Amino acid sequence: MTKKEFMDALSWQLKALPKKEKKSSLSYYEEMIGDRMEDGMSEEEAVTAAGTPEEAAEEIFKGLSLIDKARMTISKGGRTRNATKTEKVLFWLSLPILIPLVIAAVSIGLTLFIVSWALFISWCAVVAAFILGGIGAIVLGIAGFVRGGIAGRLMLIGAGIACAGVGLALIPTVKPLFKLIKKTVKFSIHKEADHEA
Amino acid sequence: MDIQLKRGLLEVCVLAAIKDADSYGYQIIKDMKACVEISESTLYPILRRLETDGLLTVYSVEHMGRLRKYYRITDAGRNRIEEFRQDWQEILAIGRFILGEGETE
Repeated sequence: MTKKEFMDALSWQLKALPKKEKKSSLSYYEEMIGDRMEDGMSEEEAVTAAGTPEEAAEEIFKGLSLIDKARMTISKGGRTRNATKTEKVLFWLSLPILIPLVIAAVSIGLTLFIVSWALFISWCAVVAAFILGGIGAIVLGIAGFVRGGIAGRLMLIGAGIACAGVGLALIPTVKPLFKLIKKTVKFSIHKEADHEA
Repeated sequence: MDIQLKRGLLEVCVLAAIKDADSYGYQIIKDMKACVEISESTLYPILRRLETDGLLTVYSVEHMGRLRKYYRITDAGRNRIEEFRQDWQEILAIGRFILGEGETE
């Protein structure tokens, strides 16, 4: 392999690296091969001594600090580079569409959020109504605020107990529903965020 | 040698290679040949980490029409070598324990 072939192959192996890292790595190997040749080795010997481009790349990647690796992952494995002029212009031109889209997404998200929680609060109100209504009926029945004498009072008390019973039976549904709504809201908000990204 | 063991030792080894005089990549490899064969692929990440940790600094010198990178040890680097002097006693003691030498029965 010639020096140029080695350097080209290594450059290809390192294409995922940020520009600075790549340049530093390449110049290191270029220098090393050059030094060996200066020492009297032939080009082929010097390149062989450097190992294969794959091995060199592997050691370089292994040697990256966690911060470098995190930076590479954030830029989605591509090279971090500044936006080109064209990209910048396109961005500003796209704003008339982009801004309404963002507003729409945010509105949808907000609506989902409000509606979901409104549903939950309504349900809690229903359960509370059953219980409170039931208690109210029991109290009124006992106090006698009903026509029909004893039978009427008993009926009201009975209805009250039944009503409160339903309410009490429904109480265990509140917590799971809360968790479900929380999960659904989180999930849909992330979906919205992903769509925008 | 076990790779974990080697990695720690190699870093201090590289520092020792530049402690008396600034040196460059290929020269460091040649100097270290006295005790260990190291390839440039292994040396590169070591040099990078030493630089990141502030144990050496890098500068470029023009040499025969191209740029050659020289490495200079820092005070922190010298401290690291001193720390190794103490580590070495511990390593010897652990070695004796592992190999069961010098133990009174």
